[in-house]
Amino acid sequence: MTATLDPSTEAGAHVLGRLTTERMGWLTSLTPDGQPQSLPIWFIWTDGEVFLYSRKTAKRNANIAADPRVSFNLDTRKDGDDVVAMEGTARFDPDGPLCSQYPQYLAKYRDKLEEYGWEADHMDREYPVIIRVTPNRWRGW
Amino acid sequence: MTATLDPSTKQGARAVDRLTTEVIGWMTTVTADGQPQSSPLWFLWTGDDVFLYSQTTAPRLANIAADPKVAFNLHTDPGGGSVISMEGTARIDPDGPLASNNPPYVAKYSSMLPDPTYMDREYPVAIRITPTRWRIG
Repeated sequence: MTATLDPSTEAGAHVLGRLTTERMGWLTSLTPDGQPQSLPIWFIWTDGEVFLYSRKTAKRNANIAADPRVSFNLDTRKDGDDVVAMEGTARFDPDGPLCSQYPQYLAKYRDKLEEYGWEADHMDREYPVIIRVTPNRWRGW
Repeated sequence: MTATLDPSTKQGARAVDRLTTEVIGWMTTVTADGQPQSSPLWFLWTGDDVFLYSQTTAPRLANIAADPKVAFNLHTDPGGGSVISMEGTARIDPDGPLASNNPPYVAKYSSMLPDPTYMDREYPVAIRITPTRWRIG
């Protein structure tokens, strides 16, 4: 079941704002033998889902292929308040846009890409695997 | 197999420093039917393991009983650097001290925790996470 955030509520609007502006998220996937692995990712919040690019060799691809259940969260404030965390289902999207064809992604990460000296076609080559995460449950407090 | 941090290396020393001073970590446990769940929590780095307290009703207790494989990470910096993330094995420690008898814990959280006996009452379950693999970058 998809869990949606309601932008008409203060809490929902706040979470949506953070998902839109924050640039680091944590995605946890499970190895085939059930070991959770948490790694930071760049992402776009779009159509009620988390959109991200993965390397072809990323372990998370095999993890998700074996078991699509994942968790995703943003960092809290330093004191631990402002929690945004969800449980979700990940899927590969072979029809999604590569980075160079995704202006919203390029705009969000422009300065990081410049800092690393990465052109969009570098992302296309190195991070061509598109993953979307559909939220099933939001947790926050 | 336990994975240790080497404080004689720059990376290892930095990881130990962050584990010692930062107040929030994220722990991921897996439900009995295989759904990962990530939650922020207070913790103490003992030098060997991550020590934390849970409420008796916390879902993570049942999760750990069903499968002790967990993940634990600190925040990144805003640009995504400074990654400290580990895989580990969690266990409930019935002999672990309650918070009020855990001076390093009280010292670490004293400013956020005026009354440690509140922790004794509400968060009496001691959990330890033994690292099996570190990812530091």
